Amino acid sequence: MEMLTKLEELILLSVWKLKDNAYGTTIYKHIQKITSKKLSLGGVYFPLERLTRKGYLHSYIGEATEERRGLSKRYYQLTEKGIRALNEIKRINEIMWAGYSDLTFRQIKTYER
Amino acid sequence: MKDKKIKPSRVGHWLLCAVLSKTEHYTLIGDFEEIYTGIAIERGVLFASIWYWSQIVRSIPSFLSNSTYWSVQMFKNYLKIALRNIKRHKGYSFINITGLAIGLACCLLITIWVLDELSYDRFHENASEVYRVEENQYYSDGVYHVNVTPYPLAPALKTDIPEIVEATRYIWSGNILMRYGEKTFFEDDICFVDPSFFHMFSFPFTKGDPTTALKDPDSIVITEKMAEKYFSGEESIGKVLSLSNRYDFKVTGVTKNVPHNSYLRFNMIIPYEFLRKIGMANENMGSNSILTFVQLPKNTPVQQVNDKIRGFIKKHVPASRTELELAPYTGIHLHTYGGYGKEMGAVKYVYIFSVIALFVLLIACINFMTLSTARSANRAKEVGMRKVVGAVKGHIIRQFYGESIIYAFIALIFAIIIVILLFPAFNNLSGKELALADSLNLSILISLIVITLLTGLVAGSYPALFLSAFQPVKVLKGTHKSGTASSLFRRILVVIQFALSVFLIIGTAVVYSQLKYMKNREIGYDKEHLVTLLMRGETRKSYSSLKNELLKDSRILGVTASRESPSSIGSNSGGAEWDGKDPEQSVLIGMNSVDFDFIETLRIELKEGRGFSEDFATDKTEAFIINEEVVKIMGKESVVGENFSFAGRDGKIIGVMKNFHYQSIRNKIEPLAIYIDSPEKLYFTLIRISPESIPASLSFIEDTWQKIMPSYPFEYRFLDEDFDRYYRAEERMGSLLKYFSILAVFIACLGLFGLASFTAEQRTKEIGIRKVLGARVSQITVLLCKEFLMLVIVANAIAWPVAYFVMRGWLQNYAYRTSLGFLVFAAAMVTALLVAILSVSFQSVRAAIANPADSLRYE
Repeated sequence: MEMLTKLEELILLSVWKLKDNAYGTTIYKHIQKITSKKLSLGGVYFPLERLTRKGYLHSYIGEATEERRGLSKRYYQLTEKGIRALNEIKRINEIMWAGYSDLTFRQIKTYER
Repeated sequence: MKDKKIKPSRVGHWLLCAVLSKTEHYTLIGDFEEIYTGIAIERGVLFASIWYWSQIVRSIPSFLSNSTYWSVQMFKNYLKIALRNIKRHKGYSFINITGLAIGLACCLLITIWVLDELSYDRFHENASEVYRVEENQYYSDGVYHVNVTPYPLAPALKTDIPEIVEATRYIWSGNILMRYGEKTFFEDDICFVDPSFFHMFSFPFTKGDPTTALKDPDSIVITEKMAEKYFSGEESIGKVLSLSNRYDFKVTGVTKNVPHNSYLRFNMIIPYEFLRKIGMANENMGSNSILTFVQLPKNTPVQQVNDKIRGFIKKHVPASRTELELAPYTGIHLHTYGGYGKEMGAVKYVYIFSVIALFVLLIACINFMTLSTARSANRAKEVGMRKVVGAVKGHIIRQFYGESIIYAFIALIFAIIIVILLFPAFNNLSGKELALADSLNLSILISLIVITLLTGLVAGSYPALFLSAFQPVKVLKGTHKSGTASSLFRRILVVIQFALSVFLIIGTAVVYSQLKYMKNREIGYDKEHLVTLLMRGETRKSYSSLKNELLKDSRILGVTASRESPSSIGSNSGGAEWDGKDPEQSVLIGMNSVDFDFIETLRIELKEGRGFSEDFATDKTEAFIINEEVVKIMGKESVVGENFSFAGRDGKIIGVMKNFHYQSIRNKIEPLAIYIDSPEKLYFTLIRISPESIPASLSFIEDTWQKIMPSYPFEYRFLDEDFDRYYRAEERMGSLLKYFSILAVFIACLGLFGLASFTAEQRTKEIGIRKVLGARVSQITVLLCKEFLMLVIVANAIAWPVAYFVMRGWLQNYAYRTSLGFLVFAAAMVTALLVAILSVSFQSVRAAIANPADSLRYE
């Protein structure tokens, strides 16, 4: 399986979380809220495109509103490949993270000392 | 929420749109708008704008790297395709690059020349504030524009006109004997000026102080060349040079040699005060013989000063007809009037040659265009493919522009090589002494790159727009045909090319025929076998004994003397009087004083009366001989015996000479009167020798000279050589034009050759079928040539009237001119047709004699 970057992973998860309201602005805001990092809109947009091209997402043109100066939204949805990829990431993560706790971190520190 | 005022900054929006709307990213712009509006409502427009711009700024690096990456990739591809094309179609590439290289080389040479012409006299710090004082003299037959002024004018102007802050006289002198120790030379370009000369003109000093160098009347400033010549390496300041073995001067300054692009030339500068001290200055405000330069304060309107000085001479000499006028110093070289207000300055040649360089380059560009459109069928598939895989029209346009610019730069390399090779020849032709290294300065390099880029753009324009418009479906299906529109355009281009070439050919022919006309024109007397001796200093006193000694030999047919060389009599005067003259009438009459035997020695034909003769005692003081022009002005039937006062003497007319040229043959023959004067005032001795024994006669004259005046070197000239220099400008222009026309025709023929080979290639099948059906080789050759020859004929039809009017205008500069005969035009047409046939027929014959079996086999 192809490895996804962390940002791509976060984007896929955001699309899943936002359900029917997943488009550029909401995804950008969501990720920014959770990671509390300064992101550029383009930095979200281009991974979204890449993921679409690779087949993890599919997109469709939605409605336009006034505050968008009449420009349409582009909504994203997970494809089957995208859902499988999320499942895979979750599985790997759980294996990798198994047994990890803050205590482990403290033990390492003690050992080092 | 619905507040319509909340809108992001226009510039930012425009930027985003410019970058994104080309692609399908317009939804992203919508997202930007939405977030902006959100922030604006929550935290205010300021915050929203900050966010908006920070987003844009942050995306710049990645945007740049992204776009440069792709443009570099595409550029590499375009370059590869271009080089591949050059390699694959060697013939076409050769034609294109050769044509462009020659065109660019012409342009480069002419740019060097033009920039040099424009650089004249710009190097002075105050160049734009310095003016030359010129005169307009009003006579009954018109205004004479003269650039010589009275001696006392400069100081008078400086005292009387507050706007004139500096003024200097400038008196040129030549043939002065200078001596330092054992070293004696005759020097030219010795100038007498006022001390302010070096304040006004910044000729850099290597030794001495320009502000004080001319203070003392016995001081002299010399150039480095002179310092080397006389003092060869020794310290020159304080050395004493003596003039004519009589006056001593102390060197107070050494200047760099005068640069070639300076109007004022000098080898040595002596204070004007010296001339006054020895009584050589003419304090008369009414006579004109020296140059006067003045300097105004910065940004003074010239018109204002002109108004003040216009009547200046009249104020001092009430009878004067002269008005003063200032001419900018920096304009003298290009715009000034020479001699008598008839010749335009060098700016004419600047225009002519710039236009010609453009013609040649344009012809080369047209080659490029015709050949690329002709070959468009070959490139059509490539364009189709590119479009199918996603290129838009802009990309294709960019590609073809890029390609033509690559061609242009390859051509530039060859052009530079051509220029380096041809530079000495070019110097020779143009009469300049430029060094290539000096000429290749920054401005030349910049203009070179600009010219090359422009050439690429012009040459590539049609192919780029034409090829990029192909529809991929048609091209790839094979239904594409290069339509009649493109072949019509190609024909028009060929016609333009040949029209330009024919124009240049006609121009060259007319210049040469005018040159021939001038050379063959009868001067009015026998100018061959006349030896001229310049009589310097004391030698004039020995004239009579020289004449007597010479006439003892039978090979010497005549000896006379003249104040001015008969090939260029420049003096004139306005104060002629005769009986019955209209008192209002004032005419300018050329004047020259001569010795007896002048008419006989020169073999000037007399229309009426007699020549000067020693048998008449009064001839020495009272006799005038005039030319036919004066008779016309006097308006009398017979003028011999009429009273005539002129040049300060009252006398009678004893003869009328037939008109002869005494100035440039370009000018009309003006009125002239001659009279006898004492040989001590006559600077030229004229000797007619027998044509059979020229060397022997010359050595006899030299021996006689040495016997009488051993201390003076013997130097002689033939009078007809003087006339030759009058044609020099025409000769130069003629030979430059000749070479440019040859190049233009050559480039045009290269293009025609390429086009012919293309046509032959296209019609291979047609020719094969025609031959199978029984066409003869000659018929097919004619078929192929006919089209091109028609184009050349049309080109002639266009070029003729244009050339006729332009060249008729040019001939107006000449008082005596050749006729614009039909022959010149016919010859140009025949030449154009012949070279066109030469370049087309090779391909046509080759196509015609090809075996039809070969050309039809692949069906």
